[in-house]
Amino acid sequence: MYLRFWSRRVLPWCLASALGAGLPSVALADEVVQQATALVRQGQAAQAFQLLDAHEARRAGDPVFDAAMGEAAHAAGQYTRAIMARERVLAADPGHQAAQVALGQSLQAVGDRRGVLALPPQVQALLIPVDAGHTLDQFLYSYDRPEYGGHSSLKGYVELGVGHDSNANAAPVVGELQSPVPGTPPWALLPEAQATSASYVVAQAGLRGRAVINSRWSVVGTALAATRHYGGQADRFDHTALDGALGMAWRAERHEVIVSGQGSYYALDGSRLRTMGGVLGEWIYRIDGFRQWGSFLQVLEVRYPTQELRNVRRSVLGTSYSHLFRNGTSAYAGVYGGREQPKADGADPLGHRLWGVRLGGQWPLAPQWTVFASADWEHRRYGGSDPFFAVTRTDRQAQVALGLNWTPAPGWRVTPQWQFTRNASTLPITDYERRVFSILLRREF
Amino acid sequence: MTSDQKRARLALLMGMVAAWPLTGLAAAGLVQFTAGDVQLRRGDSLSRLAKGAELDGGDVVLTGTEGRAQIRFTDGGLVALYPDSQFTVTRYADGAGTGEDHFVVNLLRGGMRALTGLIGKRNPASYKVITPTAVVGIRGSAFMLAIDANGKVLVSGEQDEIEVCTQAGCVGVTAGEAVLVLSDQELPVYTHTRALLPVPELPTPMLIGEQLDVQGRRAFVYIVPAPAPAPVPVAPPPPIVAPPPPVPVAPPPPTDDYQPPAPTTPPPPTRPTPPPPTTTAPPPATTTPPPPTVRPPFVFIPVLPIFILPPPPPPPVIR
Repeated sequence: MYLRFWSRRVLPWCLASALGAGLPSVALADEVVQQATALVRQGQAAQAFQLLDAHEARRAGDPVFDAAMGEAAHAAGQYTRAIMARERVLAADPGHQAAQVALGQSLQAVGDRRGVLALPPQVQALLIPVDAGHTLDQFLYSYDRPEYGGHSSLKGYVELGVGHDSNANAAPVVGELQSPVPGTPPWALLPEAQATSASYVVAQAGLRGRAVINSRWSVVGTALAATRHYGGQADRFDHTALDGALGMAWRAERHEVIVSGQGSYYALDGSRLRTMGGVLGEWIYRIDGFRQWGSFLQVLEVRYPTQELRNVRRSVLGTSYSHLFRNGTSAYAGVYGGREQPKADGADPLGHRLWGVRLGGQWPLAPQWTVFASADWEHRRYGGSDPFFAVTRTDRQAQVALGLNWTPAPGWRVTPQWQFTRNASTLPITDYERRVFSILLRREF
Repeated sequence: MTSDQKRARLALLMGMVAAWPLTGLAAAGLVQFTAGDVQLRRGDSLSRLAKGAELDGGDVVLTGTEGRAQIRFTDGGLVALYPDSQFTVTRYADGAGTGEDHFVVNLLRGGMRALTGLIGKRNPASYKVITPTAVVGIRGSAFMLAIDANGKVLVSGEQDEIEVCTQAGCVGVTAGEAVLVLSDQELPVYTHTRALLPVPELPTPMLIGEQLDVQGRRAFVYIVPAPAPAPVPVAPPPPIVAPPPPVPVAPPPPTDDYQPPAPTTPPPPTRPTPPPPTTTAPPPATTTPPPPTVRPPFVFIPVLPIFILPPPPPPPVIR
């Protein structure tokens, strides 16, 4: 009886009502999505997000709506809302690669590396590389692996490259110098002391790591080795550098203090030219996951075993600010100052006071490509009149670097880079220019 | 009941159905999305949880291995639950009118991503997520919380700042940061990497102009005098010697047997020439130029084998 009543009287009415009410509803819903999509395209993402937000409780689970919601929320900077919407899209179609990429972009925007690393490798390959997006390996370094999760970790790399150096010996380009004695003929440099242009091969390897002792204390360390071999007559400028550091790190809230001992060895053409040892203190204040201040104080004993008059104590104090933008762009700026104090009496002209400025950044061009640039400027004023040239040496050194990072596969990186150095010195013998172009192949592990 | 009354009641019913999100918000929250296996435990009963269901205090949401759910609370807050999660609405009160706000939920396992609503904004202290090892207080608006198989809690901030507390204390977590709660007795540990800017590099040690020799004298590089420009080919003036003035010689006195010699023709007188004027032109560059008045205290030293060139040969003398 009731069934008949429902089937004959109510159900058709309900169906008719549903059709009558539902069709306009669907049409309206589509209109909402279209309107929101249009708003996003017009750059009015916030309005689009508000429009869709009002319908989310009812339409969540509709892939068309969710995709539009994800796009609008992401464009409006509502990244967590975008993640939720895009996860709904993927719940309906787990293999949807475009949705996976879109989700990955939103996860990167909130700094959720674990979420990004959980995506399929082929999707990660279409995103900004996790490492490149969060560290500037050309400029910045970290003791921790991106996924280390607060545990002890070790990471390393091996790098091979070729390049061309326009001035392998950092010699003045000019071959003739004005004599300091008026009326006397100019001086000429020996050909061997003039700028030597040559191609080279380079090999580098490095290890960095952190051993966590407890929530506050950890041991950090670095070991780096690099060697460069020039071709032709410039092989006398082959050099090898070894650097190491070992220290203790202490963390509290947003602060981290690292005090480490440093050592360095530099050999030129197989002979030891310089060794260094000292202490580096660093204080890092993390404003949030995307911004931080870093300050340092470095005191180094710089020794030249065959040129002891050049031995100095180098003390440098500096600070820097680095910023990671939500789209993967990174930038930093820093200033520093200090002095190099000669150890020997009467060697003041060899010591100097210095201060400098550093700027740099990295921008993602495409999922596997990023471009980076840096500009450094340093001023050095030496401690006395040079006894030969009878002037006080002052250097103004500018260095500009520009390059690309190509990540053909996870863990691999190809970096073509151009670097220009100009040291404008009041001493003609230390006034030089240098251009270096290199291509490096890097494997990280 | 007339047919009109029936239609009116039915229309009212349908209107209520059409407006179910609004009516649903009378409870603590409303399930706006589910996928996979999601169940609701209310008291002793266990039922499948579907989109549109209401949640109240004491309700437990369980997601299976592929289960996901999203809950919208009446204050506008959102919670997304991930697979293998157990989530309890412990205490919820939207005190928009009364001022009594409570948002206390419990995550026993699994993971959740949350956006705070008005409760978190009005009364941040009343917003808490309780896990087996930590109580997450919220001062911000978006975070992600996950419990791993070992019971460790990872909390990451996505917007503004949240606060993660254990019995050892609290730490702040802002956007892009993450902390790991190892135990209830330890402070949470930050887990995001901290990239550092290296200290400035020293000037290149092989700068040619800075090399010193074994005596400690700076020589930069050995500098040899450049050959002077070739002298202007001017014929040197002939040597001029002023002839002595003719001395008149008195003829000898005449004698008888002496025949006076025949008088000789005296040489023509020459005009003495003035001495050549002093010239300031440089002497021919046939010698090494004088050393600088200030002798370079640094002798030559190249660290690298640099050979001394012999002095240039003297320029040819042009006559």
